[in-house]
Amino acid sequence: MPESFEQYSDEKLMLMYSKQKDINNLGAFEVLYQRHKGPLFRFIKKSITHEQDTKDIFQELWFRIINHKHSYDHKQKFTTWAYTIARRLLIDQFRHTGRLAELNRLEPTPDDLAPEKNLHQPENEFETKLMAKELNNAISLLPFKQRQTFVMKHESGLTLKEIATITSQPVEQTKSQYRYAVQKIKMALERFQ
Amino acid sequence: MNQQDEDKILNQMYQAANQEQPPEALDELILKHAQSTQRPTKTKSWQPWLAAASVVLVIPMIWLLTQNQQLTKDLASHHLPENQPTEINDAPPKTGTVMNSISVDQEQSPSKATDSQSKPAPSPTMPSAVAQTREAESQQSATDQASKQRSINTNKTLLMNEFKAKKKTIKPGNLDPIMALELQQFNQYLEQGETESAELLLNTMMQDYPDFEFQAMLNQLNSQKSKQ
Repeated sequence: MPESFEQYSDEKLMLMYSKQKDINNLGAFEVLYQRHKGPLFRFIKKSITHEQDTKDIFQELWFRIINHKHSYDHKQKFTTWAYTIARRLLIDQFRHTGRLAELNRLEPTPDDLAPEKNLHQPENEFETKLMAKELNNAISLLPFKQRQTFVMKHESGLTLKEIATITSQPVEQTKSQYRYAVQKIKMALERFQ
Repeated sequence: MNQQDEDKILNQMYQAANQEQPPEALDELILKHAQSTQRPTKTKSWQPWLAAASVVLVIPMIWLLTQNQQLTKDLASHHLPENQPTEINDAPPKTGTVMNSISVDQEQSPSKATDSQSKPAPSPTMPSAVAQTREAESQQSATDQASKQRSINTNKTLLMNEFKAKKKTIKPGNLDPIMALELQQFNQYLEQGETESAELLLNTMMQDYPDFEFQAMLNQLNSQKSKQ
């Protein structure tokens, strides 16, 4: 992997890969792929919770990124573009497997939620691991929209505004989804207090 | 604890529990695909040239093939019997014939001259060449007929000679008794000057005895007639 590509932003790397016909610029794509393959893979896996479908969608996602590199708008953030494609692929997969209702499952209203409690700070590494395991279980139990909002934020560091853009919904609604997700996770981690 | 602190703690826990990566096979597949989309750009630049070159090659070949088929048809039409009218020598060629299309092509598109150089070239002298070919063919057929006739005559003569050679000569030892009597009567008629009776008898003998040579008796009869 050429070290010189490491210094560039995602957008610049994508620009170099899409505009340059030189085979040497494949290195730009390799850096981009190394940066985002893990977060995107985990986002897909946590969204769909199916091993083989995760691999298929992940491959299809990167093939689309490669095949549509010339249509990428370089003013747009790369992660926003990539997660938008990933989310569309996920929705298509839900549609094909008859799980579309799962996407539109009614989310609990604030009245359904317990009063907020402070999050317990883990005191050692062992406790961190236990809490992390419990965190993953709690994430898997979240409704789809809350789950994808929470995962996008913590996997790729996207802002709630960017997540709202990706999910094509108002920012306030995204904020609510995230707040509900955090509350549920805190409830699941209550026993560590 | 404010929301930022909570987010920070949650993020630490999340990162601690989530480090899974895609399988290496998928990495290779995706990077290979990314590489494959970079390469064809160089070969694509050849595609318009290849297309143009193929058109330049294929069109003259189709034209040449068409012309060859027409030429073959036209030449085949000249092998018809002699009583059919010939169009090339007596009348201007019909539209669509080989000669017409060739001359039109040469007048309208001089740029095709270079193409036609590499072909079994149609040229303006073609009509006279065809006529010469036809004349030579007719002469050859006449020569063939004459030689056939000569051959038949020769064979006929040979057969006659052979037939004559096989015929028996009229001698007293070869004749049966009746024929001997008839020969005696023929000679008597000649001595008496009765040529008509002698001739009738000779004709009868010639019919009754085809295996014998009657030329000598005919000569005798003719000489007797001439004396009278």
